[in-house]
Amino acid sequence: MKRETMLNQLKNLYGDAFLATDGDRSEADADDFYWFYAENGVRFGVKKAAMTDRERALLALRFRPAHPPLRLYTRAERFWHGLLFEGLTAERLDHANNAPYFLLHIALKKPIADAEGFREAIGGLISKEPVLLWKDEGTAVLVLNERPEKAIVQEVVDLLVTDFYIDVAAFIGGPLAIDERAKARYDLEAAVFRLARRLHPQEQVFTFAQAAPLYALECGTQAIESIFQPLFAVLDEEDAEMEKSLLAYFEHGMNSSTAAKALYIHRNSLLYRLDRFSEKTGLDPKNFKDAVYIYLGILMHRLRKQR
Amino acid sequence: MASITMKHISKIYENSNTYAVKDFNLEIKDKEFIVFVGPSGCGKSTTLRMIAGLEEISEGELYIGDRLVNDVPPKDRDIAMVFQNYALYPHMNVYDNMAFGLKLRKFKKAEIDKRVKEAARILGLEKFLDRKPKALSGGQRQRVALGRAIVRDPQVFLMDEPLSNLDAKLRVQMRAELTKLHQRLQTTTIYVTHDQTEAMTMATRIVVMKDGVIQQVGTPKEVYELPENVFVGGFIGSPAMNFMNVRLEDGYAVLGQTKIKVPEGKMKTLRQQGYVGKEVILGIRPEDIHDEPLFIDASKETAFDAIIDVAELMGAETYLYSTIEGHEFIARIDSRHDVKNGQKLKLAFDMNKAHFFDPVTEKRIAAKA
Repeated sequence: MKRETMLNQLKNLYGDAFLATDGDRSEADADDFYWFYAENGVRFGVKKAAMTDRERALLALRFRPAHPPLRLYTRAERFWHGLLFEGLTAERLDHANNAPYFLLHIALKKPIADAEGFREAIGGLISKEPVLLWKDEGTAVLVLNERPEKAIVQEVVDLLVTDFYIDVAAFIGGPLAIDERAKARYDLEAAVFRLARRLHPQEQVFTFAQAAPLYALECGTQAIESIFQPLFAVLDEEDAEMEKSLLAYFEHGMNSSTAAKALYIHRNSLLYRLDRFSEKTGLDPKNFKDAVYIYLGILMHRLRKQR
Repeated sequence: MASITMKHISKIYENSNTYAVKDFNLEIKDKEFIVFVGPSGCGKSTTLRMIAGLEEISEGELYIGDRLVNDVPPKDRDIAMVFQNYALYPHMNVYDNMAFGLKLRKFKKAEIDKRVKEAARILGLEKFLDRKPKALSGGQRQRVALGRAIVRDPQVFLMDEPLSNLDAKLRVQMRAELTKLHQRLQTTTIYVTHDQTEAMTMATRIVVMKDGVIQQVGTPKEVYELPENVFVGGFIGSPAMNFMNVRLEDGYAVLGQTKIKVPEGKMKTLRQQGYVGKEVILGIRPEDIHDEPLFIDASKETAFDAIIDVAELMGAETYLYSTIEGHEFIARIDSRHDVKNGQKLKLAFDMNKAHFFDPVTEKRIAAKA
């Protein structure tokens, strides 16, 4: 029996107690249903009161159980859901505020089992009612009025990991205006975040400015790759410590003291490595223009290795 | 409380062809306070995250007690984690911060209340339960973060650099508090740090890691006194162990024009393993280089003249920076001995405490059992 047909049979069997999609019922009663995924990924639910435990177990054998659809709790959440996920314009949404917002993208390695608890946790982190939107059970976005500091976001991530036992990564987006470009901006940030997580699975907090060059290079052509070819030869020849040292130097604002501290090496050792790199390439990592080229070259080198 | 057993555990990240952790084997006994120590990127946090269940294990088996937990979700492993950011919910008071994890686990209110109050009593936080985190000092906040873990009464505590964001004074204070807490709760604890002082002062056993591989496991004393290799010798101890390449002639370690007598016991081992006439790495700790006349009189064949480049007064002791035959070294002497920069001084190695390492494998040359 085809599962589509089976879904129809279930609909006939349970009548009003059967819910074929997420959207055609008020969110308030989502918890009254047992939820499953059909083969095409669509979620369907059957009212708990209409099923026996045995029926539920049988259905779970044929269809992957799902969490209830994630709710939109407030008017503000419905507004932002429309703007970011559905592409509705600000005019249609009757929203006049033009102040810039910032998105904090959150990705969970495993689906969230306790969305209400997660929301309560977020509420404990910010002073007002959170605007927390779930794209799916592993991807959410928090709308903020100001740009959060990276150190604070790291604290948030640590808190969520310790309380929910889920690996969490976060991405601090750039300023976002409420206009017709908002959805495209959200989609772009989400794509940059996905790429950054793929390339740096051990990192937990990313920012748009730090991850965007990776995305630009990934989207680039072979011509871009050829620009960095001379650098690749040196990076391939050197051990991984050289690449790590250069990257740490750039990521610490070209401050050799803090970079050396982060690498747990003496500052002189780092300076010696930078000098050795200069001798080999004729490029000076301490010079801003050379540094930009070297930095992008290292990112491209890493992308190539990933491929 | 529980033991933890790791058998041939490895981790390779997706899209990577190198091991973040390789063939990690360790048995952690019930109630142990074990410290993973090593430089950035050595795999210590990745190992901790595999134990927590936040990272999948690529190869090998992990047991908590006698239960294989490779596929057990993190929330069901009966562990509690503390991270380096003593992070708290700013808009919850101390009580709610500690209670939140239990609330998520649907504990009854009375049980939550009992546990929070007990943890607050242990940590001396009873007076602060109504306060918001911003009204607490750094040390109090750190204690609340610990309290959030304690209330869970887990089988295992996993701590990832919990003190690294604290200032030096508070770090020393919290180090002692954590040790006392462990003595009191007796919960198996795995503690990750890059700070060898924390490792030495807190651990029942230390696991030294580099490049995803265990370098040595032992008590702080074992790791300090008998380092398995050059890396461990250099990483554990501050200032670090001095290393110099020497050539072994029968009875002596020869460094340029300087000959240093090697005790017969050590020489016998080196002779038996065919190192005579070859180059080896001599390792000597700063405190095993002496300036006391009595010691020098008794150790004439390990004494040499040195020009002190810099003498750093550290309080109870002084660090002397100098060279021997072009090799830089640091000596740690009693600060009551007044030494000036540029002064010529007779020093002597305590060769009974010295170590020899193979120059190729960098492993310590030890008597074969």
